[in-house]
Amino acid sequence: MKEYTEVIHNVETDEITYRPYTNEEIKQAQELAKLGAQRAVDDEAKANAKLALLDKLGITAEEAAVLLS
Amino acid sequence: MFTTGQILTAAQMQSLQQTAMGGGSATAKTVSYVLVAADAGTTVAMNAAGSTTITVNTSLFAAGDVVFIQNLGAGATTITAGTATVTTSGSLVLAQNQGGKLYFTSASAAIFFQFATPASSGDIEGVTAGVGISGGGTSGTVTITNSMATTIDAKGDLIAGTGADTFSKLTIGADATVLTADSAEATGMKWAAPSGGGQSYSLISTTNTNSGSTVTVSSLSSYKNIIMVFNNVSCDTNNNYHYVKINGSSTALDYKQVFTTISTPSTYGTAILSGSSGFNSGNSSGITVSYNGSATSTTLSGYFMIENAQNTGVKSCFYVSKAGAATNAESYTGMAMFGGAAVSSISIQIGSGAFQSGSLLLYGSTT
Repeated sequence: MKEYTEVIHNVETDEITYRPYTNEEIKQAQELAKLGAQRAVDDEAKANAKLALLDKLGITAEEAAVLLS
Repeated sequence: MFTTGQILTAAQMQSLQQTAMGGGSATAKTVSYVLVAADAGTTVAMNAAGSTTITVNTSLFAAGDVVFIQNLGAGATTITAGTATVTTSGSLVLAQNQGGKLYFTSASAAIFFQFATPASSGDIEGVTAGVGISGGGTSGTVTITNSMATTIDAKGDLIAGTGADTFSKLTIGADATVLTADSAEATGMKWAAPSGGGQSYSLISTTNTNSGSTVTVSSLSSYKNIIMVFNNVSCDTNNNYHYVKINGSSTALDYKQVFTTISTPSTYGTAILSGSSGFNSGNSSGITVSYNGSATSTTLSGYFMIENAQNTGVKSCFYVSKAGAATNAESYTGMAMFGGAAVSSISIQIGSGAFQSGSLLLYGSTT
């Protein structure tokens, strides 16, 4: 009852039910997971580019922040 | 005057009988009848199932003569002036068991004195209109009218007091206005726009977010305004966006975000304003409310609010989140529009892994 499961709490009856995702819902969830993973890749690439630029400029991130303030 | 020693003759007795005593013989009639001179001092008793008349002509009676008339039958008897004149202050039409005295003032004129029919015990003898009603009467069919009811002319009209025993109409106000006390008004009140307040939230449920990739709170259709509080919600997988879905809809156009700001732990929010109308093009995954970044321990706090949840049209949503301390975690603050049906459920969803701790607190207002 973990991944790819929907937990449904009916507030009128206070009943909690567990519903497995349909195949279509699993497919949609996997798309969302890809989106999150891609975001992580993009973040890492952006961070690496930033470090490379700082190295090229010969300044630290703090010094760059002062320059941009 | 009759005095001691006088002798009453037969003629005198007959005269007395004819003029004062109302006695004499009673002649029963079953068909319409024309009075004759011999009827003086007697009783003409009509007894017919159908309507009849008793006709009075001239030159038959002298002034002071009396004829008693009774109607014993079911048919009405009408005293009809033939060649003589007959007047009355009552009615010349006698119903069954009614009667009267026909008194001649001359050979050609008579007055009919109808015997009053006493009211039966308990009968209503008159209806008088009191305050707030009109009409009434003392005979026949009586109509009374509720003046308050007739003051109402249209849907929504109210009757309001204007003083002691007085009232007037207060017509309905514009849609969404409320009845407000105002001593400056003749009725002491008026329809006016509500001056704030009105919503009263109470905690409906607490739902643990310790399993599943989607946690849904359902059966919300009785609430007009809803707030879902994210209480330290965490999941077991990095790099997850948190989405809020309503009614389980996967229709992108149902969710349109606008005026969203995204903040990280080290930067203030960047305003995102998508599309020429200010709205983005929608997202079939729902409304994005945060991104947990690289740390699975990052917890989501904040709330999601939806107003006029029972409306079938577009509904406004507001959200404020705090995604935690991961360097690339994102907190969202903004507004969205939900265009689906009236709200029956709200879900929070992640793309990978499952929720592992925290809870959703749901507050609802029925007003």
